[in-house]
Amino acid sequence: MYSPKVRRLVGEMPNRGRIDDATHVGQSENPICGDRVVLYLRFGRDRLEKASFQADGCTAALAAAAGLLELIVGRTALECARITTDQLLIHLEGLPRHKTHGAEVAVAALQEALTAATANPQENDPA
Amino acid sequence: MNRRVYLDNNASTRVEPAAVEAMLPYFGQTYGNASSIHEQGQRARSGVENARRQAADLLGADSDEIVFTCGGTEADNAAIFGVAESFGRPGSHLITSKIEHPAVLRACEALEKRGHRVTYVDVDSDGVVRLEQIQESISDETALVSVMYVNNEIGSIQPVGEISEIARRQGVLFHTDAVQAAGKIPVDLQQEGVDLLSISAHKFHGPKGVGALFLRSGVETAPFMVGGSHERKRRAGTENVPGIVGMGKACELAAQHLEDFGTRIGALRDRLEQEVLERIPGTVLNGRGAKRAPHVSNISFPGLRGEALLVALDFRGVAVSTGAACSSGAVSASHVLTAMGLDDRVIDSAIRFSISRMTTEEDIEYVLEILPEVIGRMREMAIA
Repeated sequence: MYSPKVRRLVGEMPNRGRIDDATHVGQSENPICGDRVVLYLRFGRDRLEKASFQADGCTAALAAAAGLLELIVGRTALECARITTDQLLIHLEGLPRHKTHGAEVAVAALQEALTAATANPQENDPA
Repeated sequence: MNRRVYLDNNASTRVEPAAVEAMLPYFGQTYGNASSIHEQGQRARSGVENARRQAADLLGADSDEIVFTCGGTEADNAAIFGVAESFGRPGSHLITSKIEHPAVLRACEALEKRGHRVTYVDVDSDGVVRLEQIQESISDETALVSVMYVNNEIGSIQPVGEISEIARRQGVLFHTDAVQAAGKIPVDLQQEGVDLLSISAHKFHGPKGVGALFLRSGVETAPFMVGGSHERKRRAGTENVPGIVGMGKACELAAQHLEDFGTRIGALRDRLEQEVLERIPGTVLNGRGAKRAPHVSNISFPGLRGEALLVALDFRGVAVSTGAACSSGAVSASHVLTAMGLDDRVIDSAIRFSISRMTTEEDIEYVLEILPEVIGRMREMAIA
């Protein structure tokens, strides 16, 4: 049902918790099932240096949040903004069809973090 | 290979090597059709009838009262559809509980669509059926009362003797799904007064694909499967001889181990529960106040999701199960825990640990070592 990567991500839960010096924070929620993901991002001069997540959700949501961080750390903000749900699903080696909302919640949290930074440049300026 | 601990024995069990050994000759040597009158057929017949006696002995029944099926679901379906359809008039009434296995619930729902009426009685907060609701619901229109012997999710033992008594006083047949009871707690059909009872071999170290329906002598039901005159015209279809033989052996062994099951397995389960509750703050033991079968423990870790916890434990080598599932973006909660009226956070985070006579002290030690660590990690991840 779940790919080996999804099982590893939920088993190891890398980058869990929050980082106190995040430059960007974004969260998203699926109102139907209640999955919630919060991402904490710390950008350096031009790239994402560190990231962590907190989540309250099913296997798919937890794996998606952890997997998304694997995808984006080391990328520029623009590259992060271009990450799609499909890319994340490929990175996760797939999710069951009825569980893909987990990836959508994680990507929405990323978009929210980056959008919030744009809207509040003083608060979220990665430089 | 990393260590694996299997605590999902209510889903299925490892087949006893002795049962496998008993089955093997019936694939390559004694492969005749048990209905054939030649020697190969009669040897197969002998294997089937020996297994029938073994199954009857486990249940305190007569051999003639055992009908082999392809499993617990078929046995449940055969009992429910069979009784409803043989009732004297159309539109009969059935009584069941809200915590039954889907094999019973879906069969009842199908009967409702055919014009039958079904009463689903409540359970208390420990998962025990409310006897007074059965008493109040039963009438001349009632064809069958069907209440499980042991609940598969929390292990609560239902008051089968009392339900049977209520049904008998009204002249109503009583069926019990004993899939989680047979081979785990003493089941004595001479005492319990049950009219129909379902069991499944793979729940007590027999093979998958075979089960049995106990039909008390004199109880007539419409056959669920029609065709040939197998099983005394009560279940058509060529007998699964190797499976039936394996089931018979599993019944014999289960009967031999029954006392040990109640003591050693019960002690393992009690230790697991006690130490989980002590070592992990905020845990909830579901069905705690009920009389429970010795092999099941249902524990909630509020704030976490059961399915994610299941996957995390599996990654560390521990196989368990959960009653809840997230499907199409919506969480489908356990109907059993919901019927018990538990809090959503308790329902969503419930994990079922089910042990067998093959579970060892070392297995429990390992789970007690791993579980607090996994819960701790997941709580670090949770949104405060």
